Amino acid sequence: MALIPWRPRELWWDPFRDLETIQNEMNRLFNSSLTGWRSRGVDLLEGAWGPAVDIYDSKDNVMVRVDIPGMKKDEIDVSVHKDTLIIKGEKKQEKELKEKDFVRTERFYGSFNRAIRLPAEVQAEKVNATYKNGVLELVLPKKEESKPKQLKIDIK
Amino acid sequence: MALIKQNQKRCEPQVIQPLVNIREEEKEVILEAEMVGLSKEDISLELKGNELTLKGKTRRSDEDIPKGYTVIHRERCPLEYMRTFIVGDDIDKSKVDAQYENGVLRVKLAKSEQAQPKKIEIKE
Repeated sequence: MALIPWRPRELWWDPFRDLETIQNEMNRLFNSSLTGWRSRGVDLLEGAWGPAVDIYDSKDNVMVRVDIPGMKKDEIDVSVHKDTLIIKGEKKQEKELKEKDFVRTERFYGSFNRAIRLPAEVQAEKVNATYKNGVLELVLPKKEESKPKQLKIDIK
Repeated sequence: MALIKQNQKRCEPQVIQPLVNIREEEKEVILEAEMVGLSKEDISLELKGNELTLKGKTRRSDEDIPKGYTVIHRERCPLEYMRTFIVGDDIDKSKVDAQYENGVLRVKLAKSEQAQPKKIEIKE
């Protein structure tokens, strides 16, 4: 084997190191599932595996950033309906690669599908999407009636 | 891509190991590491002796928020990537090629002359 992951010499003989890692992983798993997995603004339609998403809000636009490394632009499918954004894609292997050639595989291949509820309804035809360095960035202009309005309230 | 995270109210700085695929071809070994959202200047690749170290650093969480926007939901916390590999003797250490495309760093390590399979001619 030409490449092997490296472990610092002092940790080779520590049998408890792996147990500690497992304990930490279990803690994280319980912490994240007990706080309730439906947070404001995000709905999951299918499964719990998918790219990480950030949603930002301004007066006129909603911005969404998605981490999807190693894809081609035409492998990503973005669609909008009212206030729901759907991002789908399939990560295909680059060429015909035989399984035996792989020394190590950790990267995810296959399809993903994520539906995201946006904080406002947006104009689908005016969405601007760019894909750079593995990050998909979408700027979605809000519909006029969805923008925050300031109403002066008279106190009688 | 991983298990969908909870809304991160506050991003803690984190150093993680990038996920890699390693495959061996006839003349080279190809390593692909997923390090999303970096620019070339943020990545460093060092070969010291027989240790190959990959490093990548994203910008701090405050700088990453676009101007004029507030955060509604956050899962992508800025990360620092680091991972080290041991490079075997069958690699020609003077011929390392690296390319960063779409969030993936692809490193090509050429095998040294002796390591390549040689065809042996069978004479009559």
